[in-house]
Amino acid sequence: MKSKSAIGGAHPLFYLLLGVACFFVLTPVLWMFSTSIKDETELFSDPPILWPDNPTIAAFISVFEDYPFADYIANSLVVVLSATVISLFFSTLAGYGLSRFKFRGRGTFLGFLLLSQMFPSVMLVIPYFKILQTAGLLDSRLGLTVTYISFTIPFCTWMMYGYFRSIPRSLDEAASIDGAGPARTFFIVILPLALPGMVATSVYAFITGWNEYLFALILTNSENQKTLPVGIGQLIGQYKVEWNELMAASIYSTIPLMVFFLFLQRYLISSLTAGAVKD
Amino acid sequence: MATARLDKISKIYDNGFRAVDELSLELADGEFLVLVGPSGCGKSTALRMIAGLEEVSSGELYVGDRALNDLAAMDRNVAMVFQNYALYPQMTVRQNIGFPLKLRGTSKTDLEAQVSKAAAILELTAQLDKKPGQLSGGQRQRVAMGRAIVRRPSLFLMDEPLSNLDAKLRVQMRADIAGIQKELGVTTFYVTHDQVEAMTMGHRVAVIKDGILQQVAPPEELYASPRSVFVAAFIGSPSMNLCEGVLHRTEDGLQLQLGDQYLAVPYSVVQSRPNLSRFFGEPLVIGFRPEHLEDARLTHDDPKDRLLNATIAVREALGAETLVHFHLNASPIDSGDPDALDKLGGHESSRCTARFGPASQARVGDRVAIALDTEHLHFFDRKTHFAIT
Amino acid sequence: MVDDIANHNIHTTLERRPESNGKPPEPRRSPATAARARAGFTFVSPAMLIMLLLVVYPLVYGIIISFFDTNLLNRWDFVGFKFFNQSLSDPGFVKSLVITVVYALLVVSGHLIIGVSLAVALASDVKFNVLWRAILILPWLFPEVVVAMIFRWIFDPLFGILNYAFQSIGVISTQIAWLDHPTWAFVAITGAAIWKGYPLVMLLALAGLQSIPRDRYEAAALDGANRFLQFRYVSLPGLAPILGVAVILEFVWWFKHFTIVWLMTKGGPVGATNVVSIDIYRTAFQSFDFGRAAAMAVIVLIICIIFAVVYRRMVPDDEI
Repeated sequence: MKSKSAIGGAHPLFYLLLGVACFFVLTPVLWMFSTSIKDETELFSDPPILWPDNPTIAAFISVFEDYPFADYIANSLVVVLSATVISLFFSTLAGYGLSRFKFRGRGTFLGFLLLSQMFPSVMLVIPYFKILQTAGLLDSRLGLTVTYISFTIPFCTWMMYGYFRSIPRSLDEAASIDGAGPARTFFIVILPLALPGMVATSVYAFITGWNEYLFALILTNSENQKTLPVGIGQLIGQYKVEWNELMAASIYSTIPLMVFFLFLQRYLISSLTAGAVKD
Repeated sequence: MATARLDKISKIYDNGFRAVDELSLELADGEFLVLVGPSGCGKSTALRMIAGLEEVSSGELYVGDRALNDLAAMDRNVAMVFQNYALYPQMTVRQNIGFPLKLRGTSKTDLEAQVSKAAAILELTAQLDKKPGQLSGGQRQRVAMGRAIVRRPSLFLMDEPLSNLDAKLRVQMRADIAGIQKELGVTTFYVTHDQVEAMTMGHRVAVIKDGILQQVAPPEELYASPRSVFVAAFIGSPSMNLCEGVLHRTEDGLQLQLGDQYLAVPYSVVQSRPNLSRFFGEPLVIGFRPEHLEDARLTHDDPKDRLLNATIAVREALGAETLVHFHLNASPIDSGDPDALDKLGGHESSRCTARFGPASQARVGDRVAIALDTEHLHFFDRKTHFAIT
Repeated sequence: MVDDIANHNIHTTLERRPESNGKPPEPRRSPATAARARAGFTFVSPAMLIMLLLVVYPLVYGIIISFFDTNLLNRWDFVGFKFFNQSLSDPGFVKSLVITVVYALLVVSGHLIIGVSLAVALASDVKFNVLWRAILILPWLFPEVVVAMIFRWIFDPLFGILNYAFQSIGVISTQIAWLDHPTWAFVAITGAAIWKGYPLVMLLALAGLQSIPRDRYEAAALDGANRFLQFRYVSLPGLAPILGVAVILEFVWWFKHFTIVWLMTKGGPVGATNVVSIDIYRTAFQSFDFGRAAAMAVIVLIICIIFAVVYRRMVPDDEI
C-alpha cells in the first residue's frame, strides 16, 4: 500500500527531523524504564547511571506492598470504564438524533456542546465538591463516575455527531422507504455502520478519564477510594521519593492506554476527521 | 399498480425560493414518465416529495385515490432507486433485497422465494451472498432495483439511477430498466438530466426548468412540436439551431430573413400555424434542427431558393455522418439552458450546426451552400419564447 | 386529454411568473414531519437531560457561589461583585492570567510547529513509516501525571539526567536546580506540555494532509512551485479547516490546564508558573475562600467563552 505523499518523496531532512524527534521522545521513556528497574543503590547515584548493572523488578512488586496500589487501579478501572460505557451509549443516541433530525432546541444544544468544551474544570470542581458533599457521594466511586460522565458526555456526543454526519443520509432514506421507522432504521441499518466511530469515541473517553487528576484529587480522600493518577501524584511529597517505584507505577498506568491504542488505532484516525474535513 | 396524480405541488423554502412551482401531472396505470431538465431544475426535489423524503409545501399528491401528503415515507408503499444506490453495506445482496419484506414480517419461505425471483429477473443469482462492496457498479444498480421490485409497490421512483455508470453500461441498462418496467407494469417516475435517456425510455417526457413544467408529451411530440424555446433547445442532440429571423410576406410568396440571407418558405407553414400570420415583418425566434440541413451538393432536388451560405468553422467526421459548425449573421438566442453555449466567443452571430451526409466534401474554411428543409421550421414568439401555433 | 390539463397548467404558470404577488403560500407541516421531530427529540433527550443535571446545574451553582463569601458549610454572606472587582484589580491574579496566556500560547505553538512538521515528514514516502509513527505517538499515551513525574525526575538537581547530560558536554559546570529557578521552571513546564501534547496535532495534521488530493500538488509543481511553495499554497490551505478548530480547542485546554504544572512546580518558584487554575485551586482548597475562587473561575470562564465565540465564527455555518 503506497502512502500518499504530501510533498513528493522523502527528503533527507525528513529523516533528520524524525530522528531528532524520536530521540526526544525515547530518551525520557527509556529513562523512565531504566529507573524502574534499578535497585536502591543504583537509583541515587551521582553521576546517574544510565543503565543499571543489576536490573530488578523489585519496584514493580513493592509498589503494591507499600501502597494500596491495587485499590488505585481498581478504582480507576471501575470509574473510567463505567463513565465511558454510559457516556458512549447516550452520546451515540444523541449524536444520531442531532445528525438526522430537525427539532426545536437543536441549534442551542449543539452550541452548548461546543461551549461546554470551554469550561475550565477548575470552575466546576467547586460546585461539584459541594453537590457531592450534600449528596453524600464524596469519596466514592459512584460520585466520581457521575462527575466523569459530566465531562465525557458532551465531548462524546460531539464526536459521534461528527461521525454520523459522514454516514450518507440516503441510507436512512432507503430504509425509510423500505418501511423502517426511526428506531429500526437506527438499530438495524445505521448503528452497525457506526461501530468504528463508537470505538474511537470510547477510546478518547477512556483516555480522558484515565488521565483525569484534579477532580479525583479533590473529590476523594480515603486511600482506598483514590484513582491511579492521584495515587501516583502522591508518591512524591513523601520524605524521600522512591523514584523506581514511581516509575514502575507510571509504567503500570500507561499499559491500559497502550493496549487500547494498539488494538484500535485504525479507527482513531479516520474518525478524527470524519466530520471535520469535507471532501 | 395505480394511477398517480400531482396536483399543483410546490416546494418553497424558508427564504422564498421555489424549487418546485405548482407542478401538475397525471400518470396512467403502468405509465413510464420521465422528468428531465438541467441540473437544479427541481426534478429530484419533486421526486423526493412523491417519496415522502421532502415535505410538500402546497398541493396534493395522489396514488390511486389515496392522498399521500400526510403519510410518512414508510407508509406510502413506493419504492425508490437512488442515484448512489444507497445499499446497506453491511448486508449481503440477499439481505438487501429482502430487507423491505423482512420489515413487513414476511414469512421466511415467502421471503426466500420472492428474493430468488427478483434476483433471477435481474440476473443476480450468483451474487446473492456477496456484499455491495464486492460488486461492480452495474451489479449494485441491479441490487438497488431488486430491492425496489421485490415489494410490488404502487409506484417506482428512480433518481438518475444510471448517471454513475460508464457510457456503454448505461446504454445496456436503459434497455434493461425499460424492459423490467414493462414486464412488471408498475407506474414509474424516472428522473434524469440526460435527454437521450428521456427520449428512449419514457412513454411521456416532462421537461422541467426552474421548478416549472415546460411541456409534457410523448418523446416524438416533444421532438417535432416543442412548445417553447427551452424545450426545443433541450431536446435533441445536437441541439436545435436557434436565431432571430423575420418572416416577410411578399408578392412572390413568403420569405424568411435570417440575418442578411433570404429563403423561400412554402405557404403550408402558415396554414399549419394560423397565428403566424400576425407576426409578418416582426422579429421572431426561428428554429431548425441540424438534421434538417444538408450539403446542397448532396441534395436530390434543386433547393436554390432555400440555401444558406456559410463558412465552415469546425468539422466533426463521425463516420455515419459529418457535423459541421458555422456562423450565421443573425442574432443569437439565449435558450435558457444554463449548460448551453449559445454564443461562442461572444460573437454577435449565431452558432449553428448542420448534419451532413458522409459523402460531403465540405472542409473547414470552405464557403458552402447549405439546404434548409423549410417544411421543418419552428417559430417562437421572441418575447415569451412560446411556440407560435 | 390528460396532456391538455398538464399543458394548460404550463401556460398559466409560465404566464403568471412575472406578475406573481411575491408572497409564498403558507407551507404546512404534515404530521409526518412532526413525528420526525419527536423521534429526533427522543434520541437526544437522555443526553440532554444528563447534561442539564450534570453540567448546567453545577455551572449555575458555581456562578451563584461566586457572589457569596462562603466556606460552603455554614457561612454564606452575600457580597455581590466584590470578589470580581478584587480579583480583577489584584496584581497577583492578573499576573497569573498573563502567565497562563503565555503558557498556553507557547505550548500550542510548539504543538503546531512540531506536529505539522512531523506530519509532513510522515506523509511523504519515508521508510519505516510505521515505526516512526509508533514511537512518535507515545507521549500521548502517557497520563499527564506520569509526564509530570518523568520530567521532574529528569530535572532533578542531584540525580536528574539533564544536569548530567549538560555537564558531560560542558554546557554547565555545576548542577542546576532547574525547577527552583523562575525562568527555567517555566521553560520546563512548557517543554513537558509540548512533549505530552504534540502527537494529537500531529495525527490531525497527518490525516488532513492525506486527504488533500494529490493532483493539487502536481498542478502546483507544474506551475513551478518548489516544495516550500507547495507547502505554503497547497498543504497549509488544505490543513486550515482541521487545524483551525484544533488550535482553538487546544488553546482552551491548555489555558485551563492544571496537572502537569501542579505536579512539577506547584505554581512556584515564587509564583513564576502560577497558572490560573492553580491560583483558583489554592484559593478554594487551601485558603477555603470558595466564593473568591468561584469568582476567579467565572472570570476564566468568561475568557474561555470569548474564545468560544471566536471559534464559532471560524467554523462555517454548514458545519453545524
